[in-house]
Amino acid sequence: MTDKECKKIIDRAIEDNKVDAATEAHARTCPKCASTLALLALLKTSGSPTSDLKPSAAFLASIESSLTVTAAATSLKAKLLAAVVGAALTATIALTIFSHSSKSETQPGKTSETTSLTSSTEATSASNPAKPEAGADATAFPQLKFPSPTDEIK
Amino acid sequence: MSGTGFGRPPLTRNYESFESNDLIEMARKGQKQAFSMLVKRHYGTVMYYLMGFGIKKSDAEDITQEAFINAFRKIDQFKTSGSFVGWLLRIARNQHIDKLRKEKKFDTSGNEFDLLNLPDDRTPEAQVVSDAVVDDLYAGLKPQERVLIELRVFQQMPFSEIAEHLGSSEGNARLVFHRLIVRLRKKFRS
Ligand SMILES: [Zn+2]
Repeated sequence: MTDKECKKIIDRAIEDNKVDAATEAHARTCPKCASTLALLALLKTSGSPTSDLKPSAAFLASIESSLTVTAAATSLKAKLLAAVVGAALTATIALTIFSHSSKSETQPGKTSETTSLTSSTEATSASNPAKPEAGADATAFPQLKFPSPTDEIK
Repeated sequence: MSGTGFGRPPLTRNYESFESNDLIEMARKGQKQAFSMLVKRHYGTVMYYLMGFGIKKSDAEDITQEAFINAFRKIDQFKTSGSFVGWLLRIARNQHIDKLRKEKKFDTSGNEFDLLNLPDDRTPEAQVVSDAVVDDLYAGLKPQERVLIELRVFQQMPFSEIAEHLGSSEGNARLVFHRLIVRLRKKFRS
């Protein structure tokens, strides 16, 4: 067998992390491959050549303290996000109530409907705080009014 | 062998018995000791990798520290189908490049990382490490040769990926590895 083929056999043994029957049969007739396989087995049992360098206790302590800061920053970010979502939710509910109470002042006949709408918005908000319900009354949200471009011409 | 210690209370958990993928999962859930175990396991590889660029041991340690902290921050981005060591080395290399850019020492010609073509350029620190274990089979190996054996024999990394990490061609990585094996085999026989 050529040197190239022997290298292929060794490569396969390394990649598969095992010696199959064909490789074993070849190793019986090829002293080079037999010796390489024995060497690889020895390397595997003695450990990696990079494992003699070990982190000092100070190095590990320094990493661990940085990880605490990282973890704390992540949890702070999550808390801030929750606070922002909470504030937005409160504002939405407040605006909804305000808008409905304004409407009910001008339309006294619709008082009962306002109450039911507000409570349905609250129920929706509790289940999915970040999303306004698609079916919710669009007039419940404040609308900005711009003057019509034709206003000046008139 | 995954999960041999899952049933035990956290304080008595022996992280050494866990496989890297289990430790990564635990680190994702915020278990710092699991991540520390990954640091212990891969510290040497990252250090030798950086020292292979001719970086002093003390500087390599600073970059290694930054790289591990960065890895913890980005651990959610790591795909378990890939090689964790390869991912770490990529982070360490980028960390090193950033440092060189800041110091305006980055060579844009791309020759900076052609580790496998370098002559014997062991840093004095690496020589001390090697000389301390003269009787060992690994004694006298250059840092990049140690990384090459770790990636190929212990991580079963394909030559294409090794070449990418060591800034070499796939053919060159394969050639250097097999020459290294012949050298070790002779030493082993003698
Ligand atoms: Zn052979």
